[in-house]
Amino acid sequence: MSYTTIAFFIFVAVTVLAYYLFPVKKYKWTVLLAASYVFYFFTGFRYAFFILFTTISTWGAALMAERISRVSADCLKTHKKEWSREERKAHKKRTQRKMKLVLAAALVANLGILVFLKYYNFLAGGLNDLLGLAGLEFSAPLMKLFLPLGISFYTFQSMGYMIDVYRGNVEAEKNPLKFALFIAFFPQIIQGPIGSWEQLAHQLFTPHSPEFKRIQYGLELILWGYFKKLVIADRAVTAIQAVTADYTQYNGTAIGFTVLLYALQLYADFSAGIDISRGIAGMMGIDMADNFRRPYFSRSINEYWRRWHITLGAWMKNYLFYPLAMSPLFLNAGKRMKKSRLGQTSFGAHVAKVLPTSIASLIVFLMVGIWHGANGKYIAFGLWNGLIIMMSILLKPVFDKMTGLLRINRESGVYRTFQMVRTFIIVLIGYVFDIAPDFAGAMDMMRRTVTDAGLSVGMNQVLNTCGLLKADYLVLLAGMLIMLFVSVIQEKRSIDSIGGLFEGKPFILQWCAVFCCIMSIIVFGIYGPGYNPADFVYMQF
Amino acid sequence: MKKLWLKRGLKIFSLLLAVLLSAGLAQIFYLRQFDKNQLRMDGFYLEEENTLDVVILGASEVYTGFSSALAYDSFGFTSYPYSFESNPASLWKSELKEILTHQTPQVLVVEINGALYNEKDLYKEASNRYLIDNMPMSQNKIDTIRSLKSGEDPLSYYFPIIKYHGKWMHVRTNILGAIDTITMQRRGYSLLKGMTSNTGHPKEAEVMDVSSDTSERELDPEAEACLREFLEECQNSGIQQVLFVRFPHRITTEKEYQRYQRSNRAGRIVTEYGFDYLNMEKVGDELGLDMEKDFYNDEHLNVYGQQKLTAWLGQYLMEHYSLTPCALTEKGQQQWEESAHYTQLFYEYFDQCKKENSDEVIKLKESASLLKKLKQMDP
Repeated sequence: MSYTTIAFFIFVAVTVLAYYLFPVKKYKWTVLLAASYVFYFFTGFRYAFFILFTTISTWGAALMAERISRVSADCLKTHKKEWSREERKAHKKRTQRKMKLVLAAALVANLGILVFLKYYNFLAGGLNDLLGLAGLEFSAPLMKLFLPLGISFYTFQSMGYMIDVYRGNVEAEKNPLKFALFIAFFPQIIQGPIGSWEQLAHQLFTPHSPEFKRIQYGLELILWGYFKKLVIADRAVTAIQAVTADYTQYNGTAIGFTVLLYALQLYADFSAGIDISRGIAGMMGIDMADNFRRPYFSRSINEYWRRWHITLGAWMKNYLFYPLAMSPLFLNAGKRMKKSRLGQTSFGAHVAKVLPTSIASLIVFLMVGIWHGANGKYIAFGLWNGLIIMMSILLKPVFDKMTGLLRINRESGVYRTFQMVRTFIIVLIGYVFDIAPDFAGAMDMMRRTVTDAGLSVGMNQVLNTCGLLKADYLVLLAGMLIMLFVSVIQEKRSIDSIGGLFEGKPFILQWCAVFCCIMSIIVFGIYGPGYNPADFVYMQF
Repeated sequence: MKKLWLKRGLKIFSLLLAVLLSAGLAQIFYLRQFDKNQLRMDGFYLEEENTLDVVILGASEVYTGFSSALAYDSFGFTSYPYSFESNPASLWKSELKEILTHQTPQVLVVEINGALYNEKDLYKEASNRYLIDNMPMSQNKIDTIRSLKSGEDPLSYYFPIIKYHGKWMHVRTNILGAIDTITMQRRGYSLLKGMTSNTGHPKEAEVMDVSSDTSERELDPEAEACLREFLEECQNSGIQQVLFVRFPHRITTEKEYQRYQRSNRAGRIVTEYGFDYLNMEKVGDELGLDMEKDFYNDEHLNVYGQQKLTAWLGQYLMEHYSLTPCALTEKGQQQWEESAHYTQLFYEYFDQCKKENSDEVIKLKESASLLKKLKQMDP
């Protein structure tokens, strides 16, 4: 059931109505659970086993971990006076070990499924190449594997919950059906955002009453999402697919233009999906975490990742970055360096201080790359971002010194613009890995943008062989300017909701904006027979 | 509180109304398939109810081969081509219902080309759209949409804007199409009665003589089933006189010959049901057709062939079906006479163009710009 079908509109309308009309307030959440499973079964029946497995195994493991912790605490309380300090310490250690075992079992089982389905063929292929190089005849068989809908998202969400329970940050949910709703809540299942138990769960289970403003804001957000998806993203995708299908037929200018177009398409597509999801949830009184905060306005790549796919970044920070950076291994590496001869210099002291953070960042971004897909190009994408961040952390004193020497005012408009442009270019380079067929292809594409950049030939190719007409490019330009205009206002006034833009403004302004948005979608949208609306990009992850 | 909700209700209602109105108007006047088929179909529905003596159902052979206004001028009976490009037999049943809902013709003429198609051509989306997009909303339209093969998007037949919204960029075509449509709607009838024509000639090729060839070839099973269903519908519909015809073609290739053989088979099926079948492929001499000069291509007559066939078929209908032209109102008569007059001017315009540039192929259909030219010629 795609977001761009009439069936989906009807499904959402029925769900919202059923939610608000459900007579037993306490059990309103069961409507959401039923709707979520209906949605999941309709979208991909054969995937259901996997989400059920993750739900049951995580729910059970979390309860078990909590029980171990509780029993241990009770035991400690009972034997508080009898046990010596060493005995208590040993008991805590045993408890910790048991809990770790439970956590590890849950992580291995669930991440194992994800890794196996998503990366087995990639790993087997790599292994076969290595074995071939070593002259060994054995080869791991390649398999035809399918990826259950939303597996990366719901696996990360459930594992986040599991770790939170293990850390004692949240209580384990006793009701398996409530937990099933947290995992399968339909607006988030296709492409996130990756919700945390603390932020999302209580909202799901609290009964909400209809509020005009919430419904209005939700509908406006949905509308804005469809505008971005159908008018911009699905229009741009035609040209992107034409070029990436065989980029060797295009010169550097055309490739560069395609990368720019991809930046527009990816943002429009992903943020549209999130807006639609958040809008639907919002209509039912549920605030899902936002995934974007105008990422292309970022002044550094670090900031960009705090504004782009925010929930993935937050997940990585909480469950991977901190454990790594605070691990004895990393901390000791920093300490060792501090004691070394290099560590005695001021630069060396800085490096020793930030070494755990910078290495952890590199690993996190390597994982972000791998999360995106089983392909060398995604690893390169992750490494590219990780290395830039690592370098920016390590070389911060050098940059500070340089700006000081050049007497640059860091808060001046020109410098801020320079930072934004610089960051955007770094992001664009990362996108080349995304759209290239593989790592070698990405390198070749980058080479072409420098060595084969005939402007007139490139523009001729863009205008005549990419499957878009001049009128399409005009719509894309107009759409981009509208998005930019909205983003600038949001950025200036720190407004995150699209509905908030019209707060306190004359009614007619809002009326006109909504009318124009609806008519733009109807007239300029890519939908209906003869058109092939693309799936949301992040569905594949 | 009540006031607040009233205000909100009004806002939502006004917004929905504005969207529906704008989308509706765009669908009628801009975002639709404007072409000669649409104009012809619109023209049929503009004809005053129960004023057509003859309705001709069929594909492109019909509106290029027969001129209703010329027939009126020559024989006095009124007729109209209920036809569009690649009109398949799979849609004929719906078309018959449509015709009989608006008209009670003395004779229904059916050109059997649509029964000679293969399965793919029988269920082409383009053909479905030529018919359904231009049918006014009725139970028959709903039934036709419901009968479409799976894979079609039924909603886009109810709301054509879903299909045609991408035409926003064809500004010139849409505006000209809208002007033609509005001009015709304001006039209240189709001036050229759905006829289109041109002055072209086919490429030189040896034309087979099939005048005594009665060999047959099986129809596509789906096509045969559609034809038989249509024949049963004709029997049950109460229409008294139905004449199935095959318009003349140039048979120059094996494929065309096979189609000719299929037409013989279709003719035999038609007669099995007790209907008349007239194969005009075999009366070329009587028609006086020149195989080199009277065709535009192998399948269609040009402007010269059209005049010959209209004269011959008109005469044939008068003689064999005792047509008595229906009594038209003064206004109706005036309109038909104006149509006949402009059709004559249309032919004269062709001759004039041909004299000025004998090599150029002139293709013309009813349009505001053509009518302007014809008016300038009008003494």
